[in-house]
Amino acid sequence: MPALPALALSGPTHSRPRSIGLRVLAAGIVVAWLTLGGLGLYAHGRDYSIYRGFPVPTHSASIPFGQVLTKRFNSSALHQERSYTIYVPPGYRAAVARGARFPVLYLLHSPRGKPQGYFTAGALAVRMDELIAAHRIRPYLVVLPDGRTGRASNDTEWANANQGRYESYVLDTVGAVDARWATLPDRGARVIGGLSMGAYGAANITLRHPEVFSGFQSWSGYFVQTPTDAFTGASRAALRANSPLLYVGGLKGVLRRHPVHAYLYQGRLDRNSNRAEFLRFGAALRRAGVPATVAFVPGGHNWRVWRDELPLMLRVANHWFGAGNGR
Amino acid sequence: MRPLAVRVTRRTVAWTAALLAIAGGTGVLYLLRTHGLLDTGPHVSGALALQQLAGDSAQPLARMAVAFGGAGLAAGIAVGALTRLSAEAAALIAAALCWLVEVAAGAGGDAIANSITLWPRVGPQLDRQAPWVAAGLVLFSTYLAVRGTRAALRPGPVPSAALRSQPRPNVATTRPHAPGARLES
Repeated sequence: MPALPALALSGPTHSRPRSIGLRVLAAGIVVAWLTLGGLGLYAHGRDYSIYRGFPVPTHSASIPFGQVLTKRFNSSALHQERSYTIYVPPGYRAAVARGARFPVLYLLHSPRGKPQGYFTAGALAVRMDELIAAHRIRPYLVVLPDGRTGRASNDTEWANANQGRYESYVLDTVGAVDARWATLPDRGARVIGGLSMGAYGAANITLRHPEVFSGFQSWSGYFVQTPTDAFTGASRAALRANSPLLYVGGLKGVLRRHPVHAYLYQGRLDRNSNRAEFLRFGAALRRAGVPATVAFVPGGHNWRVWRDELPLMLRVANHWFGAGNGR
Repeated sequence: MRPLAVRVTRRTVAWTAALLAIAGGTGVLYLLRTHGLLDTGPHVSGALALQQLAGDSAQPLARMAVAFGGAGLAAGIAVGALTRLSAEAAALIAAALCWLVEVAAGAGGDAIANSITLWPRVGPQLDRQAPWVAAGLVLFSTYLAVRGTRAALRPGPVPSAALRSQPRPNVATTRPHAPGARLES
């Protein structure tokens, strides 16, 4: 006969009072970890957004350093008060008092970027100070127009298109800078560069206004415009008029009168830029009489590349300032 | 038996806390990234995907152990205290969550750092060590934490004096019955 199952004791549970202390301790550990982890994630996101993960740029204490200032001005192109950020080299005031005037490098940011990115992720001011202190470059001003629209999309293409007259805004900035600072108001003392969309803008603005700029640097740029973003719905004529690769061939005469320099580079692993278009544009520039340097560099489409190439680009601009293209 | 709503709430709170604790592992790892004392062991690739531009996305195993061991402990405490899931199952689920979080964070980091779309960057995450190492650390530490939490919070044996002082419970007992005795149904 099978054994009958014993009935279980089913009375009230006999236990010592649950330890409130242990539960509080457990909750405290979890909350402390969540707080610490949350702070770490916040710091991670903030540091990436500002510095792209790079260490905070710091100066060697032994070298003189310049100033980074933001100035406002009225842009007639945008019918707004706008701003630019300017790097002023060390010794600027004393030199101006002696009558000195300075060349200017203009740098345009990308749609997701802002002028400060050149200083935080690119360490622009620190590199300028170092190169000036080492006498690798002459002191010059660097101006970064703020091309943000204040809307969700900042994709202006630095062109006169749907988002506003941003090409004209850059020219407004040149006028405002020349009016306020001790610049050399001559095309030979103006070079423009930019990264990604800013690189496209630098090429397009220089070739459309070679009387204003004597050289451009394209950091991971493109050279054919498409009917997207700022050019959505644009006519074929408008697209062609803003596609440097397509119109540079017709500029031989203009570029003879106003010779320009060009330096184009692109990361070998850049998935955002068209390698064939890049090479074709370099060849088209040379055919148009522009002494263009075309280079592939290690890396992709990011601040690792732009930060590494920045000192070279500053030296190239300095070289052009001394090249006598001021006609 | 607790009401269903209470059980569902406790599970939701437990697994939300576990997920946040695991995500927080990356945050703690970021805070530790320059801590020289923990610069020990082989470097685990892809541990801090957003640091890839700066060149320190690979982190030493000791830092990973502190960050994701701690994450697993916190997750295990939450799950152990608020659910009745077995330690083995809880550890497996937490490790799977960790792996998914790390793969998603790595792909997101790649996409952001290189200004490209997310989906093509998911596949390459499988070649990175960080999701696997982090999941392994979370598996181990969650298992230990669930067991430890349950052991600590389990009702202990009743002291005999306390038993004597309580009224006898009204219990049914069985007695050995005589052969052939009639059993009541």
